[in-house]
Amino acid sequence: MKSLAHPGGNITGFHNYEPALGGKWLEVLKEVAPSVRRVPVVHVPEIAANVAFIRAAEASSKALGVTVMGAGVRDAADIESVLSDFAREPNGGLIVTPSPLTATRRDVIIATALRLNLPASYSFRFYAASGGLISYGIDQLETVREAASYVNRILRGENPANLPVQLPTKYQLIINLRTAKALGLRPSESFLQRADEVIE
Amino acid sequence: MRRRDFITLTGGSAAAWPLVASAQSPAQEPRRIAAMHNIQSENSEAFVQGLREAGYQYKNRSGDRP
Repeated sequence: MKSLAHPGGNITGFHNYEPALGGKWLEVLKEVAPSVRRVPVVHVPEIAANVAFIRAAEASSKALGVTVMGAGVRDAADIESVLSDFAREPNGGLIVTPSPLTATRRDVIIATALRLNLPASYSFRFYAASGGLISYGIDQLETVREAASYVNRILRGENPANLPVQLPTKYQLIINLRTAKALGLRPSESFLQRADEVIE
Repeated sequence: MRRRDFITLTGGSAAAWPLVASAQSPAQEPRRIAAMHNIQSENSEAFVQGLREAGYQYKNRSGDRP
């Protein structure tokens, strides 16, 4: 691909990667769970995009008074052992970066976080819908809907080389209030009003 | 954009299945579209919704998955 504005080949589309979200996940976590001081970023080390999220979280950590550390995992057993070790000390939180592993095994992550009393930030709505405390990220469904419009234009004869790659524009903040209560957290009214969705 | 980034965030091949669909617009031959989605079936639904908004009728040809 030559550039996002003029891809130049036979591929274009809508992409959903914004590394700065790493800092945002830490910010919203701290807002909902102010006592959090230590936050591991669960990621798959082989995924370069995951590592960029850690760097962004680190960049925001000092101003928020939080220590951020990478927590590499490769399977569900890793997730449980890494988090159990981490939770031996107090004031822990959690950031979970998006990957096939954390998406498919979110049941394990969410249950472990709850058991260990770790407030957690996630990337996409489905994590919060499954019981994760907070998600902040791109509206995937909107992106996929818009991708269909590109399919239509290409089927009607437009050249993908001339269709710019679209960057994410719409973000959504979601909080699972049931999980917040289970963790003993009381999100502020202003936070709840700012949220695009409050899952009861 | 690096291709790997995109695949990572949409779920990756390990968690994806092919969705082979045909969509027909008026006055045209049926089109066949193969879509790879992650495990979130609501993504498939949103994609189909987008096709409908663009005026296509949609038939799922994959048979076993939404």
